[in-house]
Amino acid sequence: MALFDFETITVGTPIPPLIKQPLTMLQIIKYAGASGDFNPLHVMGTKHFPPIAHGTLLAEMAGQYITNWAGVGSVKKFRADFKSPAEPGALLTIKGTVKRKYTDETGRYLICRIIITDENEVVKMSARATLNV
Amino acid sequence: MLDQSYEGREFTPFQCEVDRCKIKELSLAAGEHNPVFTDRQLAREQGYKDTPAPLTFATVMLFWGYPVIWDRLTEMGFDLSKMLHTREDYEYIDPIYPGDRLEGRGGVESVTVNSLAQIAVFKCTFYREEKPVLICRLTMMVAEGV
Repeated sequence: MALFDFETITVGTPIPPLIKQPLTMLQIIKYAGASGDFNPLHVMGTKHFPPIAHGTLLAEMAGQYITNWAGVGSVKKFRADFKSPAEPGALLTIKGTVKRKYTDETGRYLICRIIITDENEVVKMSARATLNV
Repeated sequence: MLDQSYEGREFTPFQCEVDRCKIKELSLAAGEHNPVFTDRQLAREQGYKDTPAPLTFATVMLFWGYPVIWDRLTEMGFDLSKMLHTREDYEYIDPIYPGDRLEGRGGVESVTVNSLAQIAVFKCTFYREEKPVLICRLTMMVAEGV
């Protein structure tokens, strides 16, 4: 179900970057409602932390990024590591690269690395996606 | 301190019916508008049976399907005001579609407590008609020094 020709992809092929609209508190609240994760850390902050975006909100952004490129049905594994908090106002950029390409008896695969950074190029999330093309 | 006796403990299975509106809501909340998540005809043209669930839909099913997870986290020693979500891990076996009736089965896969960190990994497998379709793992960590 991939949206590209596997033969044209090589290790190092970049996935077109995506610049998100500025993160807002409203978006965090919408995501809380959608996900069911109403942890106060996200919707209002705690005595220790100001409100920050859910890690899974960034994961969903990265998920849609790879979905737009490869098709949701191509993704077999997806692992997101949350590196630093993203607060309202953050300008997030999503970038990805093909790190590995191989074929075995079960099919054709790509492993991609995806990173989300803010306007200061601080890494907010890094992810690894395994695609079966 | 996290209670290490929770390692291996399984939680009560829960039922979840996949809602078309929730797929749209999750997609829009993340700020994207890929029509595969809302346009049935387009989805079928791309080879899906219906509008497929986005890649992190397990989060929706887990928190809305098993809201007492917060009680479990607190019981095992997490202070929710100092809990960090550090990793989310998904394995996709088969696409998930609106109307799917799934059962989530899982629990605490591991609890690690040492001088460096306190970390718990939760695993949940979603079944459709007794066949696994999605596996997710959440890694939560106590924020030290707070």
